[in-house]
Amino acid sequence: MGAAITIDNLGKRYSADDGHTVQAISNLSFQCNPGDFLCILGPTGCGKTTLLRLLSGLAKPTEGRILIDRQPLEGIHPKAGYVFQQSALFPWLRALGNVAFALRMQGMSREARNEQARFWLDRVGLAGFERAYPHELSGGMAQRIALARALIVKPSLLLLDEPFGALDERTRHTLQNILLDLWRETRATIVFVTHNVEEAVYLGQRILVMAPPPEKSSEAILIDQPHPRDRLSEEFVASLLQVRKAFEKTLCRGY
Amino acid sequence: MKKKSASLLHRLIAGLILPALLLGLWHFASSRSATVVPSLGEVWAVLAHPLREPPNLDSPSLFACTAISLARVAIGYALAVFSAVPLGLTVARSDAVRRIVMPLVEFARPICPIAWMPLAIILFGFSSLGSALWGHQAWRHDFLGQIQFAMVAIIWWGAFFPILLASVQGVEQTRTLYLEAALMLRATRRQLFRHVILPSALPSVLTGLRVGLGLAWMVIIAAEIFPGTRSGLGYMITTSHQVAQYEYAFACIILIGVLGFGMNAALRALSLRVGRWQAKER
Repeated sequence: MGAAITIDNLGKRYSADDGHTVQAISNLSFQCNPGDFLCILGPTGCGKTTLLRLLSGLAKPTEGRILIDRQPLEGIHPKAGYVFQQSALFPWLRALGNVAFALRMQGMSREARNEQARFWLDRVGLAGFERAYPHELSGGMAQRIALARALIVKPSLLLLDEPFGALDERTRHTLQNILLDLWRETRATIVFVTHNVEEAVYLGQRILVMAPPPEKSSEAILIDQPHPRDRLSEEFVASLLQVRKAFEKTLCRGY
Repeated sequence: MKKKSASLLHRLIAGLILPALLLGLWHFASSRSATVVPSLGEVWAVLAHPLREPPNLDSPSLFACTAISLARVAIGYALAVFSAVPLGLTVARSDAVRRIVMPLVEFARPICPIAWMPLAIILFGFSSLGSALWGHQAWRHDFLGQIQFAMVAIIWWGAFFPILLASVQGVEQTRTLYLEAALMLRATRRQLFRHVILPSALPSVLTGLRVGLGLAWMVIIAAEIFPGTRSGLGYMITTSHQVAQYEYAFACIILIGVLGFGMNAALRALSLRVGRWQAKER
């Protein structure tokens, strides 16, 4: 079952070496129910990645707080999975070793973890690529493996940072559908960061349009359409327009 | 971008062009002044009979000299590896250790190992592995008696710094992305070191090992020229010079080159195997 997220007045300030501070996020509040698919949409520099880092526990907020399943977040969340923007696969491990990495850290035996890793490679459509090194794989394949690697520990919260941003459109669509299938099966809560309006509307149940501080981020937009969605349907195009308007507003105010 | 690799035969032929030219030049020079430059045949005669004790040279056989030089390098180099790699990994991971160690390292690094030879002789005298193990009975174990600590220390010095710096650099170059990815996959601090930092530093460490071995091999020849030595390739070169039997010096030089080439090739094959993932990662 997915995790519930409550974010309350969240703020994050970075201090540079010269004493200069940068406000990456300010006054952000939202809630996310267990099993939700939340898309965070926003232009570059609005603090999307920072938000994910805060949610994962890799970074600590300077203001406000994060509750996950009503518990304040301390350090790395034990049930969170993370898929990075660029391929963060370990280049010295083969595909199988990458997917099995988390189980190896838990001390699981080689046979047991490899069996599970094979299962997950198969789930993302890469059966037979066990022995490939990351540098031998295309960008799409690498992100599939990153997905399998994050899912093998059955996370209740899956954080994805523009995972398909560098892929061509057709590959991106395939991976979006794989992600939706996996979400339906695992019922994990998903927080998906993207700068692509169409991607957000295709995937998200709710879309939070983030604006760079000091602008306030908008309320989350509900996309009340069942998956799989038809990109050509009228209601899809209408939602697309609605979200794009909110998105354009953040851009105009910024520049 | 790497070009398509040429066939083995092509590379062999290309690599042999310059050595062949050198041999030609050598042959020409020896035909002009046979007293200073030994002929190819004379040098070949030395190389072809490595076990023969040189009749008019106060030196062990070519084979014995090679063995003793290799043994000295092996011990000094092993000490360097087992001291520099752990120290490098520690320095890279602790700012306190770095602040204590690195200033001295940067000061000491440019000092040529040979510059320490007089001091090393004062410190270690003529004590050797043999004399340390068997005391005054050492003459029974002549081979180990030839492994003087002074020379081992010099080799250690020569190989230590490149290995140390490469290890430090390897750890420092670990990408934050990989560390964070491993953290998100529930790696503990200790596991981060073992499963992320070490493998990602390994190619750099191996490069350091290669540079270090090359230096150790270079330094030993110079160290063996010092007085009091009775064996080794460097010693053979010196004595052959003293009695003007240059074919021995030439044979030694060729052998030094061949062995250095072999050591480098072996370590490179090892690092290509271990760092296979890195070869195409760009």
